[in-house]
Amino acid sequence: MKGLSPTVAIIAAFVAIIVPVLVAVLSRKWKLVKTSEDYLVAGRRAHWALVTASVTSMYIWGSSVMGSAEGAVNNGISGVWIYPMYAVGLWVFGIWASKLREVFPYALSYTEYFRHRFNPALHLLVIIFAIATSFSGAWIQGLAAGHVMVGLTGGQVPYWVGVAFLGVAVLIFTVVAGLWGSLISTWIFTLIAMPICAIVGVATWVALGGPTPIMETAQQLFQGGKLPPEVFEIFRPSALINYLIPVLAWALFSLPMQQDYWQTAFAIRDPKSVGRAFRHAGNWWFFMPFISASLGFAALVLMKSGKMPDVPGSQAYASLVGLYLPTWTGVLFIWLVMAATVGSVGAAVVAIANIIGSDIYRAYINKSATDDQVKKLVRIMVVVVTLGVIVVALTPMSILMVLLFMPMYTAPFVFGFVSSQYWKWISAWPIFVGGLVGFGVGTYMFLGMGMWGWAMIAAFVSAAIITLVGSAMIKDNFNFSALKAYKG
Amino acid sequence: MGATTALLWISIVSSTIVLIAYEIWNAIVVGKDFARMAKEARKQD
Repeated sequence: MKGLSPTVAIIAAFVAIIVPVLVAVLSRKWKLVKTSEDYLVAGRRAHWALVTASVTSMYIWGSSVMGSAEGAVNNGISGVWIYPMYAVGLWVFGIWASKLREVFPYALSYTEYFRHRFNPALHLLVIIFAIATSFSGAWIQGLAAGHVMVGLTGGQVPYWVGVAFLGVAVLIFTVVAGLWGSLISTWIFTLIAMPICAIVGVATWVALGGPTPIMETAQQLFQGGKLPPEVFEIFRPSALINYLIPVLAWALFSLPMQQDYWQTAFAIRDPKSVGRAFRHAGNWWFFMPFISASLGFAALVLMKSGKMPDVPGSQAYASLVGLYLPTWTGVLFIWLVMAATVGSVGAAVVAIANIIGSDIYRAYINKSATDDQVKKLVRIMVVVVTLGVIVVALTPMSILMVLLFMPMYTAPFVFGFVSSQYWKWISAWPIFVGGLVGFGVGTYMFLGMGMWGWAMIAAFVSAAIITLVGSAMIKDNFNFSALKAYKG
Repeated sequence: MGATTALLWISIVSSTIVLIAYEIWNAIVVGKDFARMAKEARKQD
């Protein structure tokens, strides 16, 4: 058994960069980016199925391929349920996205809603948390790219090489084409990565002899006391409490406030198709992680039996591929994860640049900014943010831990955001105070007490109560027609 | 053990079928739209 040759791994990563280059060339040929609206929300001209593919790739590869296997390594077979549950968030998000497109049809970012619906203080507070959330998403993908290179080559290619390739690829298409670049790249990557994902997963199982020999080994380990019985529990209570609740918290409390997803919702040509785009993406999300999670379980058994070296859960799937499959499948796996992480990071850096350009620069710093000035600024911000992601991702960390904390940034604001689109009496300061209190309570429970799942719920509930009670005492009377009329 | 084995099989088969089916559907729908966009870009030239 040996890992992928470092030379082959690096050549494969170079080849993966060809897609961003082609997309950059194509977007210029088709003249897709003329205005800042074209750059930030694809001129609201994207087909809904393009958004479905883009949203699918945004989540699915770096985090769920590597992370879902990690879930099974850490929790046994019950870990397979962790990642499919993220799909719930997309199914629900389709409802919120349709609603916001209806009440605020010309939005470039969801944070702009807070500017026009509430006051500058709440707007700026939400901007800080929105940037932290998008940055964390990109950070996760950076970690995944680094782990893949290490896992597939058995540590022969340093961790930083994967992160550096990711950064270069992202810069190529985002600087030129913005959200169009992200949408088209992620679509191509999805078409490349979907069959690869299935082929690599099935081929790895074939190389292992299928589930039967793995289960025979597991049985022997269980009888020898090397595998505890809870590894075979399909619904293990500790896994459900520690992982499923934060996963659902991410899906319900974090996703509704991530610009990476909102910008794709704003990009859809027909507002009536927004819900449909996210429902289909949710279906895709649901089924995708099962195959890699099942291989995480196989990796757990093989590591316990000494047939595979002990590796961190984040690298388990990549290590399996590198060790058990021929070299050519390892190359496919590099394309799978590199391609996907590139698309996701591209969406995140465009999202952050959008918030800085639309919400900070145009709203507060230079109110009379021309479209060209905004476009230039967001391009500079794309470069700055991408470099920031590379620097932060250079320190290897657990993918799952970074992902699990993400909902904390937004869980305290979700209730105020969503309810204020339906109820005109929800007011700004209760959301502001509730947001800070909820974040404080939740962060203490998460970091100080290790109560991952309950921390999110506490953050959401405490903020929601303060928002409701405070708004009942200091009632707003917002006129929604102002949002419909606003065109930036 | 039996339930674990069954879940592993279900995971492998369902994932593979859905990934391939969505892939084909999406490639056709979006591919048609890109062909339309390319045609429009040529007209503008």
